Amino acid sequence: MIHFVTALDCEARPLIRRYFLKPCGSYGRARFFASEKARLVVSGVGELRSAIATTALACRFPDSGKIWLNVGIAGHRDAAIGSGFISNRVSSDNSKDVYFPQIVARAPWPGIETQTLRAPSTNYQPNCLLDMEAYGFYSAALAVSTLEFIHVFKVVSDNATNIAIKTLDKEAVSESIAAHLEQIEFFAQKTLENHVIEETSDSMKAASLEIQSTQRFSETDKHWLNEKLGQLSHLLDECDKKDFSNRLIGRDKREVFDLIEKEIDKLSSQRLYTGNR
Amino acid sequence: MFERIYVEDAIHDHPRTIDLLKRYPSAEAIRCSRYGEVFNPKRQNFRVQKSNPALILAEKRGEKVLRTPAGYGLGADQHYYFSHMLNCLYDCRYCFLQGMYRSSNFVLFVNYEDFVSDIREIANSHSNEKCIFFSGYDCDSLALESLTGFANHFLDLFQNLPNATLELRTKSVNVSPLLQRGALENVVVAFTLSPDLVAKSLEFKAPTLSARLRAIAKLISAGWKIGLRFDPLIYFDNCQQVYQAFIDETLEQIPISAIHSTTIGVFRSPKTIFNNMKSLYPEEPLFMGNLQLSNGLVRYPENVETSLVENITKRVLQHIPENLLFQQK
Ligand code: SF4
Repeated sequence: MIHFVTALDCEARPLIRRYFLKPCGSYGRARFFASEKARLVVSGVGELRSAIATTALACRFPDSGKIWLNVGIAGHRDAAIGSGFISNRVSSDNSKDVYFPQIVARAPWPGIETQTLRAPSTNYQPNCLLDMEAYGFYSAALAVSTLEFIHVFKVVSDNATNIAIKTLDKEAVSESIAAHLEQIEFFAQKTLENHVIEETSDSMKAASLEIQSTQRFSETDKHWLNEKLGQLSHLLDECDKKDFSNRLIGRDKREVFDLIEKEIDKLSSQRLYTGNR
Repeated sequence: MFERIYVEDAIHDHPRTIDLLKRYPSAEAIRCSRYGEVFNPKRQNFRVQKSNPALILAEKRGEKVLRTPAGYGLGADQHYYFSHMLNCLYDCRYCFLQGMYRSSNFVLFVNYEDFVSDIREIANSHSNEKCIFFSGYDCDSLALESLTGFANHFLDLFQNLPNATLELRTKSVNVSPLLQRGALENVVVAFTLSPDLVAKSLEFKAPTLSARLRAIAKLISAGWKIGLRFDPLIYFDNCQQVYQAFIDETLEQIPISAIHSTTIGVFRSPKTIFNNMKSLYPEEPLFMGNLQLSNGLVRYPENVETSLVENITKRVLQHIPENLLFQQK
C-alpha cells in the first residue's frame, strides 16, 4: 500500500487516474482518496497543511502501510522544467533540523536537497529544490514510518529562466507528473520489497485468542504469548502449527507457557544446526 | 559500490575525503553538519538499510582510544581499543552492532592522524609496559581495506612502537595489503572462526571457513602472527561434536609457533542490544530459545554455557599450550 501526499489537485490528478483512487472523505481542507493499491491526500499549499494532511491520512487509515511519498512540484536554479528529483536531504527555513531520507532501492532520479520555504521564492540556490511542503510532510510521516520508506519526489516547475508565475498552468503540472508515473510506481514497488512483514500464522492467532478467552492474562502475559506464538509461526511447518495449537487448548496458563517455551527451545536449537531455515 | 556518500562539513576538505569522493565519482555527495544527523536519528531500520548502505565520512572527536572492559584482555599490561569505522560489510546475525546502532550505513572517521597521535601518546606513557590496541570493535578491521587503507596506515605507526601490539580483528580474506609488506612482530591478525554450519547459518556475506583458513595459511607463510577467536560459541543440537571436530580440524592446520593467542567466548548480549536484534529479526532462531537474562546479559543457561566452554576449552588445550588461551567473559 502506497500513501501519496500532494499539495494540489493538479499534482494529484495523474495519481488518482493511475491508481483508480476514489474520494473517501476529508479532514478540514484535506481530501482523501483511496483504492486497494494506494491512498492519497490533497493537503493544500504549505508546510503545516502538508503535515496536518499527512497525519490525518495516517489516522484515517491506522493500518497504514509503510511507504509514504510526497509528490509535487518545486523550483530549481537551472534544472530543466519537467525533470524529476528524489530528495536526499529535506530542510526547512523554519527549523534547524534536517531529515536524510534513506534510499534503499535504486532511485530512477538524481538525488537532491529539498528546502521547504514558508513563502514562494525565486531565490534559487545551487543544487537545491525549493518547495513549500516536503518538510511538513516528512515530519508527520515519521510518526508512522521510517526513513527508508518516506520519500519526497519533485518535478521541476520553474527555474531561473522560467520563473514561477502567479497563475499555475495546472495542465502542465499534471502532465509533468504523469510523465514520471511509471518510475514512481517502480520506485515505490522496489522500496516496498525491503519492507519486512512480521506475520503470526492464523492457527497460532486463533489459539492465542481461545486461550486468552478462558483465563485471565495480564498485559505482560499477552505480550509474551503473542511474541512466542509469532516465533513458533516461524519454527513450525504449517500442519505442525495446527497440531501444536490444538495441544495448547484447554490447558491452564502455566502449562501453556511451559509447553511453548520447551517447544521453542527444542526447535530453535534444531534449526540452528540443520541449516533448515 | 556506494550510491550515496554523506560528508561531514568539518572534513569536507580532508585529503582522505577528497580522495574517496574522487574514487566514487558516481556517488551522490550529501553534506551534513555532524555524522550523527544521519546515523543516529530514531525511526530508521538497520536491517532494511543493510541492503544498500551508504558511506558517511566523518571526523572522530573526543576520546578516540579507550580502555577495554575488564575480562577482554590478552595478558598484556594495558589493553585499549579504537574504531576508525562503525559498521561492517558482513552481516553476522549475532553481531551486536545491529542492536547497538540504528543505522547500518558505514561511518568512516577519516582523521587517522588523530588516532595515530593518541595511540602514540598512550604507548609512550606506558613505555615500560606492554600495551595491546584492539581494532575492529565496531567494524571488521580488514573487510573494507581497499576503501579505507586503514591497515596500511596503522601498520606504519606500530612498526615504530615496540612496546605496543596491534590486533586486527577480522573475518576478511583480503590479506594482500599485509602480504605486500614484511610481517611485523607486534601485529596480530585475529580471525573469528566458527564451524562451517554456524558460518553458513549466521555469518552472512562473510568469507567461508575454508577461505579464512586459506588466508591464515598465507599469512603464516609470510611470517605474520595469528590470533584465533572462537567467539561467539553458539549452542545448538549436537553442538559439542560439531565444535570439537571443527577445533581439531582448525588447530591441526595451524602451527603453534604462529599462534599469538586464542580466545573463547560464548554468545551473550546486553539486554537492550539483544531486544533490538530480536525485533529486527523476529524469525531468527538464535534469538528465540535456550536463553535467559542474568545480570543484565542475555545468555545461555549456566549449565549450557559451562559445559560448552569447558568442553571446547579442553579440546583447544589438546592442541595448544595454556598460556595461549584466554577466556572472554
Ligand atoms: S564480521 Fe564482526 S563486525 Fe562484521 S558483522 Fe560479523 S560480527 Fe559484526
